[in-house]
Amino acid sequence: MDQHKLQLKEDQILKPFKQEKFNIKQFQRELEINILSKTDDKIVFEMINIDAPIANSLRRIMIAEIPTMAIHKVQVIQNTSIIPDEVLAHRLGLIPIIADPLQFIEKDDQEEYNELNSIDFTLVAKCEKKPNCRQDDPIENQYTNTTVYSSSLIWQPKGQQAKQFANNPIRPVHSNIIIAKLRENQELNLRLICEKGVGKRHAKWSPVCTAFYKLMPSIIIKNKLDTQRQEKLESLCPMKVFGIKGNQIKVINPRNCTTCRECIREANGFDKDIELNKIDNHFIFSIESVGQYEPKDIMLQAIEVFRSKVQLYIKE
Amino acid sequence: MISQKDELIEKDKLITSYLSFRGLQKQHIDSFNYFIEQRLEQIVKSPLNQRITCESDSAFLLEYLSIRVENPTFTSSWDKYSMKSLLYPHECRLNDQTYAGDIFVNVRIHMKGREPVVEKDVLIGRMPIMLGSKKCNLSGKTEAEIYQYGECPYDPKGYFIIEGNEKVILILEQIVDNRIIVDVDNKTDQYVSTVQSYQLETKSKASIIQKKNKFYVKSSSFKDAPLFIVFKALGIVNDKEIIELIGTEPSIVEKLLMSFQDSSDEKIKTQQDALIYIGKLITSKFGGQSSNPADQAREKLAQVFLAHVNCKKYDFYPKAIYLGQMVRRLILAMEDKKFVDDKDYYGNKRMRCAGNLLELLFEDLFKGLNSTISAILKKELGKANCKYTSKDVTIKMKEYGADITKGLNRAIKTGKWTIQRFHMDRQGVTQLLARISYTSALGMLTKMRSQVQKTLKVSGPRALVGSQFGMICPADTPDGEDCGLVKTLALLTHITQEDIQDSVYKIILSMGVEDICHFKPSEFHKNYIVYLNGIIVGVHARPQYFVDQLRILRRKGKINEFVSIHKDDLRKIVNISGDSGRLVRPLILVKDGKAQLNQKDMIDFKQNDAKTVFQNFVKTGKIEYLDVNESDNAFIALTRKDVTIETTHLEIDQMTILSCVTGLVPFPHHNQSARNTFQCQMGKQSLGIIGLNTQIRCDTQLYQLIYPQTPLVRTVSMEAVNQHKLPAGHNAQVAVMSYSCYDIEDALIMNKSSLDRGFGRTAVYKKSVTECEINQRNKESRFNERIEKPPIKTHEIKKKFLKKYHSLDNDGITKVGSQLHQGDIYVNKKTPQVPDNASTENIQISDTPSVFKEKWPYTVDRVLIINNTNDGTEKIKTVKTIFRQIRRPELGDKFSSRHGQKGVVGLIVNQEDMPFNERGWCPDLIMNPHGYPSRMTIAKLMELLCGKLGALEGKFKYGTAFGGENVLQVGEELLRRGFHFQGKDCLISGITGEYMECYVYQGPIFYQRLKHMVIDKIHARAKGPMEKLTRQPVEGRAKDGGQRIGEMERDCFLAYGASNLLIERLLLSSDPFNVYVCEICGMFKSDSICRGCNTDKVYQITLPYCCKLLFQELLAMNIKPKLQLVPSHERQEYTMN
Repeated sequence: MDQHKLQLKEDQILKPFKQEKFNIKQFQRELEINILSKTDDKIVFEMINIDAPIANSLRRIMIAEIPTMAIHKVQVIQNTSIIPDEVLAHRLGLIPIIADPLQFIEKDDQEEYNELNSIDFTLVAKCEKKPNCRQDDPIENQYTNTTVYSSSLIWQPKGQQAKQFANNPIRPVHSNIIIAKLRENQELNLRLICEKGVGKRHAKWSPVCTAFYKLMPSIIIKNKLDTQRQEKLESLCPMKVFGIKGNQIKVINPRNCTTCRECIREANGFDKDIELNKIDNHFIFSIESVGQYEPKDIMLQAIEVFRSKVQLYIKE
Repeated sequence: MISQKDELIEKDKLITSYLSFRGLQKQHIDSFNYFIEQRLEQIVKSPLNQRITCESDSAFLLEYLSIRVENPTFTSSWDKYSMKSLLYPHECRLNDQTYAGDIFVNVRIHMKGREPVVEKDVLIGRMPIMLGSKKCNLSGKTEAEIYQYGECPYDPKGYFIIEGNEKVILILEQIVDNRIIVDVDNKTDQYVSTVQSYQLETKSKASIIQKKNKFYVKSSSFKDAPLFIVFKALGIVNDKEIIELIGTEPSIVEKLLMSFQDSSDEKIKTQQDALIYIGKLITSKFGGQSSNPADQAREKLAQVFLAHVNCKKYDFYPKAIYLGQMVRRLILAMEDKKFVDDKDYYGNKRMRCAGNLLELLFEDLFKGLNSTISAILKKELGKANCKYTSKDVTIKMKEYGADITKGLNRAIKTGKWTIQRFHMDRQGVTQLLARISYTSALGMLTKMRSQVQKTLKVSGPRALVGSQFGMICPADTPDGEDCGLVKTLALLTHITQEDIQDSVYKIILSMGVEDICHFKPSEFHKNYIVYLNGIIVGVHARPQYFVDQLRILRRKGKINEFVSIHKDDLRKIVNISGDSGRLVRPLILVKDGKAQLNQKDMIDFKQNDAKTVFQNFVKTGKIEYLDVNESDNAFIALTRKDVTIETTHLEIDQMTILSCVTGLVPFPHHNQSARNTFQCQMGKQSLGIIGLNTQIRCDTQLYQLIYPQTPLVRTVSMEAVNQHKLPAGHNAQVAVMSYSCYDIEDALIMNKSSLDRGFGRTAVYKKSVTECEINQRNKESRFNERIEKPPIKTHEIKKKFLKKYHSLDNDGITKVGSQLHQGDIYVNKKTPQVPDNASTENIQISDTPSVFKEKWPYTVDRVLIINNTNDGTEKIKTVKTIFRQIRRPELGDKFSSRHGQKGVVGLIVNQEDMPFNERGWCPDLIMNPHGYPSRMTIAKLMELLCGKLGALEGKFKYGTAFGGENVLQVGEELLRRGFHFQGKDCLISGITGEYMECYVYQGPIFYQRLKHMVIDKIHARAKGPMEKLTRQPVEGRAKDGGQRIGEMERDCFLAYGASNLLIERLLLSSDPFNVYVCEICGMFKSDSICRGCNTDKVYQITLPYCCKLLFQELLAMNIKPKLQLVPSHERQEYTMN
């Protein structure tokens, strides 16, 4: 069996026994990264010739150890909405905030809030009857602030912050997150304080919706198939991995494979003909950013954190 | 083309339509309405209650003309003025009021020397009104209005509000009255034929028993009397006639032979002889009646014996016929076991709802009022110069009417039903409506309690029997001592109300039923005997024809739709019942192998209001109601495919055999039955939202899930009762795999990030009440309890002292939004002490504040201040404080799926450590696969698969009982979307980053958070409060008690040889006590000298205080326990000896 192949069977995955030791020289030489697709909030790239522990470390760091800014303290001056203070604070905490965390330091327990470790927001909203509205209008048209969105968060720059963040003002990532719904005379008056933190402490600081990887599949058609069975196999795969080209069935879209294992299902009769493998040093990474960072920056940040952790380890 | 054999499309609409006009609690509301509208009038006008006379003034007569109950009102008084306004249930909940309406009577009063006066609208008390009944102020209100009154439109109603508490009168299951039941007596092991008669006023029991092959009549009014003598007393003097009444078959006559002798032995020949004989057997004598035994016997026989059989002018013939039937049934049963009636057969049971029980209570209280009034009048009118007018009488009636109000309120509040007339004393008739989840409230309103004693170790009444099919949910019953005794109504079951019987009676007679009295007794048994509500009406020669015709009339609406017509071929009886408390359920009629309700009828739903469609089907004879007895004559097909030419009825849907609580379980037909039962219990403990008005309610304890989700896999019955709109749980992403070893014994692994994002977050609201009362000793206002503003910082008062007052506002009540810790004061109440001589100016005022007792901080949610002075209570002001705590799931909190699979959180894992799949999916919760094999909850597997597809498609999936999604199709659909057809995915370990060697079953399962939370149970103590008497640690978490080392634990220490540990636990950490003991006399001494023995050989020893106490108590009883002291170095040898 190939050293680098996991073989997928119908009921289990066979893993190769590995003896290779990690070789930094070889790693530096052979590592290959290709970006497969990239949008504003998601990046997909492949890393070849990397081992699971390293790839996984990067993934774990992305989820748990890249700092961001998030609302951590809420001072409730007035809250007459139907949402209890604690729940409101929880909802506010989960709103992603654009603010370069590198410009801030993590606050110590004893420390006071200052311009280096915190950001201030205010949220003031009152639901009041609009003048000249009609009884039969929808409720949104009759009153102001029937729904309070994240766009109502107003940044209150402290000290030098206004100048410092002039090009990229501090704000919520999305302006249309519903915070609360108000009805006549209900009022919100809050002071919000953001702190720097990591996903390990609370998921609100995690910069990724999800960061994950999968292994590149390698599908091998071992035996020659007659036309009828070729057609059957082609239609069998829901993700259209197989295609007939010039009378010969071939694996045309291996990256489409979602590992549904229909092709190796015994009942379909192809289990002897097809080998479904995963290449264990070919990682296809996906990073979905919450919005504070660009997806590729998350990867770079992760590498940075990883490096500092390794250095710490070496030091000790 | 839709064939006859296909199930109806959208047949769920039938169920929804039925439930939309009926709800789940119509039985309660109907029963209450019947009580208010019919029975009240009957009770007041019954000959025994209608008149009040006065012993000292024979001219006086008070006559009740009518009675009525008004809608709940509330009288607010200000100075001399009072104003009546409508009272709404929500105000009652907040103000601790009773939701009750005034009872008014019109009376005519005759007094000596005056014209009779009609006094109108005399208030004789207040009647608690059932929510949703016709007298309820909410009935007939639109949804928008209901919101205005602070009510939830989904609230089931059907309960009462007594002093702010919601109380449900549970349905009571009883054995049927007025029917002959032949059964085996537990003690004698012989057959007994019994009838329990219940007629408006009287309740009696009569049975035929055997002693030494002779028959005796056992009755509640006289001692066991020989059968033939009773017959003779009833006027059948001729032995031949008696036998003819029973039956002339040789086998029957043979059994009777022995009993013949009785009457001849006693030389009883005439009716008079027999009456005298029975008169001597009478146990309780009538007061104030003639002492002639014959007259007494005649009176007893007429009024008490077989009370339900009418007896006009002492014509006992109908009773004799009835008695004959009782004996006949008994003898037949002796010959052939199949004639024995089954007590557990559900046709022999009747359900008593709120109305029936209130009726008993009200009549008792009403009689009480009458006798009180009568006693007062006797005193007042007996006076020489009496100036009593009719107005004075009504004033007295109003005054003592308060007893009715109190009596009704107390009974419903405490659940103690004491009816003096019937010597009834029952506990736990009512229960507080459980508002943990919406399901629990629904479950409570469909719950039935059986009267059988819990301690009785018989399986019969607990068993699920065939006659309960479709009427009672086979799954929803508690386990443990109440198993099978507490039942739940199935989704469509209804409980009948009494039908006015006259019309049925006339129709029966016009259909060829011949009056039994016109027949020769020998002719009876050749024909079928027709019973109407247990009373013999006559005989019919062509019973099948008669029954068929009568049923046709019922389907045409000529007689009440709930009247049951049952033909018993074995006993040759036709039973026509219109009595109350029968369980009925709707079924589709089938004629000549064709269902009467077809797809084209479903168009009605488009044209008409859904509420009326179902009733129209009943009116047009497409659907009819069958009770348990009549179901025995029916041949009911489960599905349309099963319909054959013999079929008479068709189920509306098979899922309707389950209750609304079981309706929560998806695919219950794939589960081991016990699992559904467990879910029924846990569904009632799951936290969700209990209604749309939770935020303005003020229950003592209220749980609310912050982000409840509607289940991805639903059932039709959930939707029919709005459970999907008030859900209790989350669609958790579940991976079925093993992880760490903190998942053994059903523990769950939770994703920390999911909890961060709000999974399972719950708000807990707790209420505390502070009451300011009027001082009992001196009612001056300066002695009233009051709330004062907190002390301010001065020289004497230190900051530390003021800390506990931090949350108080200037009015002395806590601020909304402030956080309270243990020991904080939230209402600063002061109680003035009344000095012995009231003239002194210095009034001592003591602090009686409300102190916050919870260990963990709560936030003040709301404060309600109630001034309920006009309630007649001694309170001047009530402050209700509602605290709130938001709880995030923590280690040890309890969760459960909808398949009776409960578990606690065993470990909370960071998201990065959780496994994930190739699409980035990550579980919220990991469940150990060992939960499956022994529990056999296949439905949970199906729920996961369907939920997975539902989430992918963005559609709700259905797991309705005996129906629901086809799992094979779901698998295929999943495959088409690139998922494994069985729902198993490749997972990658979050810790190592490598692929797992097996595939993992994963997808969404609806998980409920249960109310058992660690924070409510956590308890530990080192030192703490001790019991006063024994000086041992107190018991219980609430009192900060100790953890007991019990006998079994002690045994373990002993067996292990840990004697020092034993001494430490049982003595040193418990109640060590140093005491001096004299070596010579062996008694306790106060110091190191024994003056009695005149010695200083007194030593100090340590022993448990309770041991010292025991010795002293023994001394008090003149027993001297002598302590023998042994020097500690010799102790070893001593014990060896």
